Amino acid sequence: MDYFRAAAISAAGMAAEKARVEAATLNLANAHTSAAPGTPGFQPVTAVIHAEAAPFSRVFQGSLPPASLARASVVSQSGVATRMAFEPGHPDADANGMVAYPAVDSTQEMMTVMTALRAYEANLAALQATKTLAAKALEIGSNS
Amino acid sequence: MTPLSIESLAAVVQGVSPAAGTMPGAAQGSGAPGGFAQLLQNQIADLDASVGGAESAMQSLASGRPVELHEVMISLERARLSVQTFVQVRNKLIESYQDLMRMQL
Repeated sequence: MDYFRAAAISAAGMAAEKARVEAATLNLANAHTSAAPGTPGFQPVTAVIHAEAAPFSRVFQGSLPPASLARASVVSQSGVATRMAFEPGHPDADANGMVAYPAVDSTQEMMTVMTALRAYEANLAALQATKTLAAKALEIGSNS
Repeated sequence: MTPLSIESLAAVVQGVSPAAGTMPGAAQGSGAPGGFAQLLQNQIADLDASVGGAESAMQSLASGRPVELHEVMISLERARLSVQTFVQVRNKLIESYQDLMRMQL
């Protein structure tokens, strides 16, 4: 049914926002993961969202424009400096007593979680509107 | 949920089809006798597919396979909407049948 074209688009948006939350969660969970000297340790990740090509059959039917569905991929951030903390007693401390932690900004990650949550809700509201459209269209037939 | 119940509906519609075919209006509108019944059968097949999709999505969720929760909910909504649409079509069918039966000759 054609009403589910909008539902598919909303679902893709919701999946993309969920990926953003997952990336932020992963960063927060590993914010205090130490790395032994010489090992790369945890690299903070970020969710990159691209407009992905819709399934060819849907484009062919004209029901979706090409490159329309939001699709997220979680990639490691590169070139991020580690956060060094002076903890001489730590097993992962180097010769100077410094321990390397990933440079995770808790405030920024929480902001990512909040904006992703709001965007997820926006997608949900759009989906509810689509549902209401379909339900209202069915009311045409009822004579009550 | 068994697809049998919907299949039996399709059998009922097949029984209805000669009556629909003898109606001149229906035959003209669809181009062929039984066209409306065919339409209804297609709709039942669509309904069956969406209910089956919702069922398999729920099974995947229940058995712990990695499915998106919102995808499951959307497929459930899709099934609900298909059922409601079919119920409306059925209501219209029954209504027109009753209108015909009440007709004074």
